[in-house]
Amino acid sequence: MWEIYHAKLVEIELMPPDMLSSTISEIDIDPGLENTARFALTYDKDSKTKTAIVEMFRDGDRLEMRKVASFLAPGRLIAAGPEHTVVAARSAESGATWRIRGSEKHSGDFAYSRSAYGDIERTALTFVNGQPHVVVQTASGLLAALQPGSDVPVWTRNEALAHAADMALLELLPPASSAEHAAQETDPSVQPSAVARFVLRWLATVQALGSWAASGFGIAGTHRPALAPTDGDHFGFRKLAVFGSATGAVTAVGSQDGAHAWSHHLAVGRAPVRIEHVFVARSGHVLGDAAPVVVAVGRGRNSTVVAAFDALTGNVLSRDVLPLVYTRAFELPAIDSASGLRVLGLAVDAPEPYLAVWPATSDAAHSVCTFGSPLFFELGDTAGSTAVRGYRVGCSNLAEAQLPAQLEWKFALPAGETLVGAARYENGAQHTALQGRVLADRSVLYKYLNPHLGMLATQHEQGIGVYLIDRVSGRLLHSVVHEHALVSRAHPFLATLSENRVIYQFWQGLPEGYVTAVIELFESDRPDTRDERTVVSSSDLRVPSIHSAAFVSPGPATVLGTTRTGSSITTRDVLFGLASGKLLALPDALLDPRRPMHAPTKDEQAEGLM
Amino acid sequence: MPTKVYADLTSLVGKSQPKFENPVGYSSSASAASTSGASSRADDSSLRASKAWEVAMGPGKALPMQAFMAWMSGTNVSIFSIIITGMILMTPLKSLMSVHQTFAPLERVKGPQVDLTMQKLAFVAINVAGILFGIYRLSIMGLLPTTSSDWLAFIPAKQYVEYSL
Repeated sequence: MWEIYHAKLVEIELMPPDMLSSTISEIDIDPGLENTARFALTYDKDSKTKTAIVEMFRDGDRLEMRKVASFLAPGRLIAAGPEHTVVAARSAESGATWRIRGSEKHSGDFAYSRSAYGDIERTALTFVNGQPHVVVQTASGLLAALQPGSDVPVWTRNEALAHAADMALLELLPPASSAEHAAQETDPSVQPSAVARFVLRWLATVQALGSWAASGFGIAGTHRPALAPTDGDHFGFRKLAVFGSATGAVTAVGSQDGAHAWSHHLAVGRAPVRIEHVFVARSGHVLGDAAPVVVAVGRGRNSTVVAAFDALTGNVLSRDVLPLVYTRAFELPAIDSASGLRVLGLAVDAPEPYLAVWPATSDAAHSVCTFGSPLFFELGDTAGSTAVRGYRVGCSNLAEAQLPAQLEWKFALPAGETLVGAARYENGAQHTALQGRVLADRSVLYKYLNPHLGMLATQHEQGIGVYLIDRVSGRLLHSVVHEHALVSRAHPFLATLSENRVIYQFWQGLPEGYVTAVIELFESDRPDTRDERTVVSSSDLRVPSIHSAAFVSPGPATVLGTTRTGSSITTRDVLFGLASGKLLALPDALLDPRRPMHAPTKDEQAEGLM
Repeated sequence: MPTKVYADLTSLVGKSQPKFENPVGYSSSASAASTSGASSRADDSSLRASKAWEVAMGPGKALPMQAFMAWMSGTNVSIFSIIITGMILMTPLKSLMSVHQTFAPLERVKGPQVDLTMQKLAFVAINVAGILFGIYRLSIMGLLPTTSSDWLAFIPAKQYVEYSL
């Protein structure tokens, strides 16, 4: 058992002589050794970075350090096995090299893309059937098992999605038919002669006919090439999902089968970027149009990193490190004319709130300013806050692409209450094609559809308070208190907004347990009464009439969401992500506050209430 | 020996007929007048007028039967009730389209014109009553767009002046 010696003693007196004039930048401690303490010291000497593995041993009464091995460029952590071997792996330009000290023949190269997966962070040594296997993990989560004498890893496993923070779904173009190809090749801009275009199109059709006949007239099974993850289909089922993870990995997988398309590792120096948002900046719609682009926004150390990728190939188009710390990131309703990308907004809270625009050009800021409606956003809706502030985006300071934010309203929570949850409309859930609910006598209860509806949940001593506010004017529309309810890390507060409903789940305490509550908003409590205005401003709102109900949930959910529909005609389901890893979709007829507590009458049955 | 008959009618042929007296109430002047002249025409137009009244009232006799059929078909929208309601609506419509043809054979073109305006008006009124009954059946079945839920698809969505991020 080794005693712990004073660090200064070790540093001055026990350092190997040639290391005395060096600057140590990192020390990794070798875990798990029984009789010897080993360290990997990364130090700079003579303007070169070296890694030395030193071993401490007792020589009588003295403590000595002995260098076991050293190599150029920083190596990473050391593992140990029963024969006191030491493993070090270091990243090179095109991959990594690794070696097991103690037996020189055990070394090898592991070729992988450093730009895609990052540097090697950890190594471990295991023995399989007496053979040493080295397991390495890269910064973004790629795991590989390597064996000596072979450049091909035993297995690799990409665990970059384990820390996924956000995802963007990209619509893929369907494969172009031969007619579309022919039409493109014979576009008037390419082939001005109409006769030549006609002849070329006919030739293309005849060729397609010939290849169809050659392939057996389509009878003996259609020869379809395997689709890559970036190929779409005619119905739009195949999409590309681009994930951004907290370890700095941007990964694109096909949505149909999870096939891996491309990866990239975002890092500032050696520190990985903590990606929090992924947006689709340009979606490729037309054959031959510019490639689709996704943008990842993440946090570095006191900075913000915004990187744009070609969504189909994964090439980095731009990578900006902005010297600001953002609070919220969102898409702005404007397109930058220079790059054709959707403009992003980064709301900065301190010291003075403002909105930074990306791409950080005055043209992009100008396109935001020329949007017809004034833009509003809110800050302070994070857990633990006691006031929510609403801001209006101003239109000055365009040259620096930083638009000022004027404080419009402040919603201060009552004393003793702290914010535990906030929700707003996501993924177009505020759109609906049906403006009212049809009752049994063919009258209509008109829905209260306010796209600026926001929900705040607060915790105080007696329970949970739920507030419905208008996010543009800060006006309180409804509030309700759930007594004896509790929000904690074990019982999080989940909420989602869908059309004219607010659905949320919380822990009510025993005996009810988990409760799912629904608040439905209508323009009036009397049927056939509506707000006749077609243009509404949030400064002149009518208070909605509320129908609400609470249902006991059989179990906890970890996330709540709403389905997305193409034209907002289909009724939406509420999605519950369960703790068991399953997804539950409940139709909105089940979570309906107007459901009767008795057996439904004929009229209620006609309405579809159960 | 030939049978003795009381009157040998075969011997009447060729003989001058004895003068018989006219029956009681028979006036020889009346029969001569009916086969010609204005009096025959007056009888003809009154006959036509009364015939036209029968034609005009004809649909009215069918209405109670249609009403009974409609009552039997019920208020639920089903194939039978739709067929009955369609029949109730289409028959008066077709009759209204062909008013002129219906009354044409009763209006004499040459000779005195019979004024059948009242009959035509009565015909139209009865058919319109039939159509109204058909519309009433439609409203009972809930097929008329009279409530706000029927116009729900045409309500424009509200536009909000501001844009929230």
